[in-house]
Amino acid sequence: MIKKLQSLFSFFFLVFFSGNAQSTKQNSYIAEKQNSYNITVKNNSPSIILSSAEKRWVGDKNDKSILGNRINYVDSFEKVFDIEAYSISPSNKKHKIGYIGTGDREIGDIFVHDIKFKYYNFLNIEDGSQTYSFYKKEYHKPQFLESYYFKDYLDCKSSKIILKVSKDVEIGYVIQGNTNNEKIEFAKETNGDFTIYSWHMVNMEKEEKESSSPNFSYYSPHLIFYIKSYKNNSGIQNVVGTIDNLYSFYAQTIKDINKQDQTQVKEKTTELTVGLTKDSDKAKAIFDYVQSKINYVAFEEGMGGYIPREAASVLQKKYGDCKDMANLLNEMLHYAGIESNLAWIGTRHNNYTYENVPSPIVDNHMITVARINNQDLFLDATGRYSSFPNVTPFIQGKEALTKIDDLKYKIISVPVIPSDQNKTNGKLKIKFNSNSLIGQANFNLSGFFKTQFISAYRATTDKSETLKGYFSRFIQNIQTSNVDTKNDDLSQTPLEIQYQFELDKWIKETDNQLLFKPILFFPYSDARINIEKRKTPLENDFKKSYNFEYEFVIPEGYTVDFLPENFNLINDFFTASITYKKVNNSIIIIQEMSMNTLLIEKNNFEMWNTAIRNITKQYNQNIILIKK
Amino acid sequence: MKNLIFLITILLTQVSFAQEEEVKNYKWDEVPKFKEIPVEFTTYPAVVLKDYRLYENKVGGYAYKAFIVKHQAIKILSETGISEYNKVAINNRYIRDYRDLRVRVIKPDGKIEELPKERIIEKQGTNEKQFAFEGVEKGDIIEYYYVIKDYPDFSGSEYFQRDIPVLDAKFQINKIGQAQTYTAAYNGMINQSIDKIKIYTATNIPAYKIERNATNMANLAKVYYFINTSKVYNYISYYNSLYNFANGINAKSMIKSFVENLKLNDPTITTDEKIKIMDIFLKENMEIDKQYNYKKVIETKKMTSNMVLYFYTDVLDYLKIKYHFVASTDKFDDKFDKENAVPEALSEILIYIPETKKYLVPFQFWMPYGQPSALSVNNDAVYFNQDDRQQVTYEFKKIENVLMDENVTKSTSYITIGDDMETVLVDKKSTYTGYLASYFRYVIKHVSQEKINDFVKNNTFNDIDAEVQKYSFENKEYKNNYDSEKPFTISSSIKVKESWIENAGKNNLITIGKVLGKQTSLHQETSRTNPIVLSYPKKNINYINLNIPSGYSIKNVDNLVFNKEIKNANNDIIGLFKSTAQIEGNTVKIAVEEFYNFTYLEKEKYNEYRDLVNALYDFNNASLILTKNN
Repeated sequence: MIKKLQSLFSFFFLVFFSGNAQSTKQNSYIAEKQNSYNITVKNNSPSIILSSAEKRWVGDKNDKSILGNRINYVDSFEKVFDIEAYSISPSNKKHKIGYIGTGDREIGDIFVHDIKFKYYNFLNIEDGSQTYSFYKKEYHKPQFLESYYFKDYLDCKSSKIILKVSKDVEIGYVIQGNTNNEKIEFAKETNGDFTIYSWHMVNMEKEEKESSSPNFSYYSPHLIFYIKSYKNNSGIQNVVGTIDNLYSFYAQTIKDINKQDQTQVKEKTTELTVGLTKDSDKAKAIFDYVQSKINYVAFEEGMGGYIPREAASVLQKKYGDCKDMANLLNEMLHYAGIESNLAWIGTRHNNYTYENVPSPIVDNHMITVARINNQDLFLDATGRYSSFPNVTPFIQGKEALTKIDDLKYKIISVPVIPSDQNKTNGKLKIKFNSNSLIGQANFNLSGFFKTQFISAYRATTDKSETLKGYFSRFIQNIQTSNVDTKNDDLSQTPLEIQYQFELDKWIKETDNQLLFKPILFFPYSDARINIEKRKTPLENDFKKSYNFEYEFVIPEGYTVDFLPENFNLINDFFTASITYKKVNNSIIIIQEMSMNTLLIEKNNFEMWNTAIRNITKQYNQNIILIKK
Repeated sequence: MKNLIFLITILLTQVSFAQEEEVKNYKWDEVPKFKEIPVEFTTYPAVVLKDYRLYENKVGGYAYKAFIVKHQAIKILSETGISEYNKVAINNRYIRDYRDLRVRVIKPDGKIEELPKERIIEKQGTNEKQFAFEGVEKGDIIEYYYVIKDYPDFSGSEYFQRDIPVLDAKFQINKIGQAQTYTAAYNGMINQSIDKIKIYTATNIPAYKIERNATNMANLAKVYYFINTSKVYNYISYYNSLYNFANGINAKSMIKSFVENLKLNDPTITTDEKIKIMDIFLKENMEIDKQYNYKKVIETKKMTSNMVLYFYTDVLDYLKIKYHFVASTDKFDDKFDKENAVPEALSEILIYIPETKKYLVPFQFWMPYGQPSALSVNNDAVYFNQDDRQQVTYEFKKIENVLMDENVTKSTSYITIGDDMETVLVDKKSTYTGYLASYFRYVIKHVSQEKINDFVKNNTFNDIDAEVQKYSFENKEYKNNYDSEKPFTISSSIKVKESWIENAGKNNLITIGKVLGKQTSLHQETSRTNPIVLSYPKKNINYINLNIPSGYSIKNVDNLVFNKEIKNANNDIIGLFKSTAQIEGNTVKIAVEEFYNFTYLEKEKYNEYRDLVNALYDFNNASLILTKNN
């Protein structure tokens, strides 16, 4: 399922692949790019042919990103042909390209796939050269078309897409991404049997990804078009373009799965659920098994990127990708007598809904939706360290297109997990020793915090190193000892971490006073957004909350001279409070904070920064103790 | 006697059978036997039981081929170990033929499950094969080997040490008839070569752990191999290749006119001055670029890196200035080997001028004539004396240490706190000499305008969140590398965007040490495996001036006083972090001296080093109390 996701953003690949040459010379730019599609019906099937043309101006010949071109394609579904490219030097010499190679895209977690690229290099490029690139691409699967991103990895003077559509074909289209302050000229005209649609943008700045940016689909303007239906000798043939059509296509892809003998699947289910009476316990046992014993290995060649593999085979091989795990889980749940179904879903990587984009481009993932005690559970066994029945962070808030039967489906929204379910709780008892603080800390991590910690902790070859990193994430000179962890498993029980610590040079001493910052954990203190520089929205992995309780034992001979004022902040992103209280011989400080947003749009940066500034200021409040 | 001979024969046969592996027809043991895993290795997610890499080159007659074996067996000790090691892609060579490829999983009870051939994926249109081990569970052993026919690979290196332990490692390569096969192995690889077969083995190689300021890569178990037609390959052979390479192209008339135009043949000019003039001309007029014609470099102002070497040697030859080629390793990547000349490891090529005792670094265009390359400082090297071309000699020497006082960064900062007691403004002037200065001079020519603020911020305020309001550079021209009175200078004014001011009732505190930029803490890094190795000695001096806001006073300047030293066996101070602070009028004046006058420190001295680094971190986080006057 991940295949589409990758090909969708093909042109941006160059940016990351080619390195970032720095130069004091003028930036290279795209003078003109145009993708023209000719969409007709030939031999009773849709014929979709893209003619692509691009002209660039070279500012700095040492900028490796403009020295060549890559044309991505999915080998099973697309054919690239008629590649022609050349450069023209400032002295007007034309140099045609020579060798055109074929390569395999290197795609992170996908072990086997057929996403390839044609590549070539321009010859004798000089500062001021112009490059011209042309190719054609034929799409063999009318369901799988690419989006057109108007912007690119270079500044672009003119960007145009044209769809020349025969009267026998009905298309749908939608512009996605952030189009505020963007002008896209649209035109539609009829020419004989064809309708010609065009969209045109001019003078665009280059599009870049920044740290913690969401995917381009959130902010970069792009056209998604799809074929709703076409007319052939047998009549009107639906493709996609409505949710019904999309589901019908999906249902076709899974109609022939699970034909192998499933005795082993059934037996394994029985073995896992023996003695369990509650559905939720059975589901947990099955989920835990698939999650921990089936290793993620993705084979995504051709339709193998869309059709789940046989449940029996996945069980035997002990590996599979998201859809393979979803299918095995689904089959095992059925054997356990639990209502469940396969569901297609687009992760947070894709910013689409089925209503807006009724095309396979919306999805890149598969899960199992189980119904237990009148509740939908969104089971994603690819989350290696998720606790049952938690969702994985990357499908929060997304729509799951859930199978009911071959014809019926249901769209169910996955909840966004609220901040109070992803919690770090800390209790600290602290005393003074000369100018050091000595303390005992007890931490509880739940929800995604627990998952996040365990993923790092379980994967490391040096657990003590990982723990040290965790303890010193806010204060590097902390020294820890007697560390103990409990519940570092996949249960819902919070992970417990206990340790003792010593914090040297934390206290400032004057003639008769001790000053110290009582807050020892500073979530979001480094989260200021550089508003002048940042161009893209900022994505948070999950909503989260922190609750720290500090008890400082006032040292002998001292009394409290100053306690900071209590603090409270509530806005769209944060709720935060700090309270200070003297109780007998101790000072009790409660620091609470929750961060309640997954996406910060540009127009909210200022508000975000104001909150960060106010919160950080509170981290810098000192308590003053004075000699009696 | 007969019995004795028989016994010797048997023993020798056993020894050679035990060591030499059949390559072309390699097979694994149908019933596998592996070494026991030592207890100390059982905490890792997996342990490599066997890692054999065998090469058999066949060159001569009508043959031009190689057989290559890779055989690996890994015991999976945890669930995470499965996903890490259960996939294999064989895609890094121009494979002509797979003679054999077998894959199996061995269960803890000894049951063997071999992967059927049809489950091995052949990628369309390529020679690549991929497979995933099936049914793997914790406790299983996953094992595969392949024998491929390929083109011979005449040089390379193989690293056997990994982030998990390796119990049994073996490297094997044969000698071919037409040339010699040379090998060199390091860090625990034992030479067990027999006759025409070079063999290296190692057992129980521990997992490596990357440490800061350590020669991590140089310490790994590895083997280098290469072939050469010389009957003996030694440092003289290496010299001959280097000499031939450097003198490959004749461009006498270009060199002659270059020398004449710059009047380098003027006998009144010293050797030092001549080389300096030559180098400044190159660096100020040339650009490293594509260039096909060496004779046209002056005319086109473009030259390749290799041509810098040609040019240096040609001018020196023309001027009859004596020089020695010097070769060393990047000390962080490879140990220098006096026994074996290994061209691939000798990445640092220098030209030493005995008369001036200075170096030219031809392959680092930013480096002026003077210091050796930063990665070779204090490293062993070979110096070739070529005064008599017919009788070249060489000696091993350490490349001299460079002077700490020639690699100094000196900064003066003026800090102002705004009336709001929140805003902090800093004016900072930093001067650089030595390697950093040369590097910065080169880099700023290539930094685009949109990145220049980041360059200033990152290099003068090291990762501090700040807005650069203005900046300027001084002495940025290349020629200033030769003028110690004109250090490379960055002047900047910044507005601090992170919080340096704390509150304490009506008083405030400022963490003034942050003006040095973010510092490393080693408080949590209590153990050390490797010695501490630095590129070159260096010194940082900081003068910090804080304008005390009116209406406030400061009493705890002692909070900023630190003094940590590292001493050598002679009790000389070789590392220092020392700060002093005092109040003069309404200004707090802080002087900070930090230096590392060593490049190597035994790991036994780690605690002293750690204390020094931590003192710098503590200074960075120490604060001054601004007491509001009543």
